Amino acid sequence: MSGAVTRALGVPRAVIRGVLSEAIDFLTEEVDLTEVLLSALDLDRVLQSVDLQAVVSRLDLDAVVAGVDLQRVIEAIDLNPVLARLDLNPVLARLDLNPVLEKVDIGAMVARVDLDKVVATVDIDAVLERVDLVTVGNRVVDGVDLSSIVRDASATVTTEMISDVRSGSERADDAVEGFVNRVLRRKSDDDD
Amino acid sequence: MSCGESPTTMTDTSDADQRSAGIVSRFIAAVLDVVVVMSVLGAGYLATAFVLFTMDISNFAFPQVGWWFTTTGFLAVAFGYLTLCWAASGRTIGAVMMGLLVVRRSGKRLHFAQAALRGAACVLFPIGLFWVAVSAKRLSLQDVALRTRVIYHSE
Repeated sequence: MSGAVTRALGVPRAVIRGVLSEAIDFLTEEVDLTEVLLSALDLDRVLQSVDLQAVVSRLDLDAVVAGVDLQRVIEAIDLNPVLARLDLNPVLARLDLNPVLEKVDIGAMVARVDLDKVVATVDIDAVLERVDLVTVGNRVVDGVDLSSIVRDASATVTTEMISDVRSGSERADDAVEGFVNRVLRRKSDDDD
Repeated sequence: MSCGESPTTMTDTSDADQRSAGIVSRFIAAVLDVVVVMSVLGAGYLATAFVLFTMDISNFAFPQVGWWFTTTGFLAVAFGYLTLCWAASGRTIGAVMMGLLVVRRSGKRLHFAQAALRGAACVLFPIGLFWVAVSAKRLSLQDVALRTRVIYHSE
């Protein structure tokens, strides 16, 4: 008896299971449940109710970052437009370069520079063409007391020349006296 | 004037200890003095010619000067030049150039009369200068006669 009841009760259960199965198959195949859910759900309310902080704290960010190929990311970034938009003037204005320069050994840097090579690349002719040499020369001449220099040089030359002539003639005097003394067989301290 | 030494004046007895100048220095000084005297004569000639030119331009001709006048003029100018230089400073221009000074044996400057006598002696008997080469004390005949000497004096 109980077996018959059980089977009798199992019939509607099987019917309901079969109907539900067919309904679900219909819904999943014929209806876009995602669109239905998105239109039905208030995602803002859902997100407000979610503790994102707790979610993030449970994330293993190290593992996430380890899986990212940063090199590819960096290579993919075009820095030129970024740098072009960057205004470095305010940065440089706030930068105190003096401490940096104090630490730099300018002498050692200059010693490593091949000045000959640098000078060889300079177009001296072009520089000279831009220089008004006549004006520069006039300024130099105006700044130098040439008359004084010539006067001093002439006086020095004249003085030295006269001194040489005098000393030379004095030596000649002694030579002549020595010669005469030898000819006359006379000692140099003899009187007239 | 060929004596060529220059006299000095303002000198004092300290010059008596200085060395006497030899024949070479004194001869060069004498030559320089001859050049000075000839320059004075030449300047005088040109000045005379200029005066004549300004007085009569149309008939101007350079003045002709005889040898006697030239010789006499040379001797006179030389005598005046030497006398004045030795009496004033003891040095002629030639002596200044060669660093020489004419002094008395005592080292003091020459008197005017002494300078004049020495000037006349040098002009009339210039060859007396060459006795300096023979003299042990480097004295010319004029120095011996007038008791003078010529010393090195560069100041």
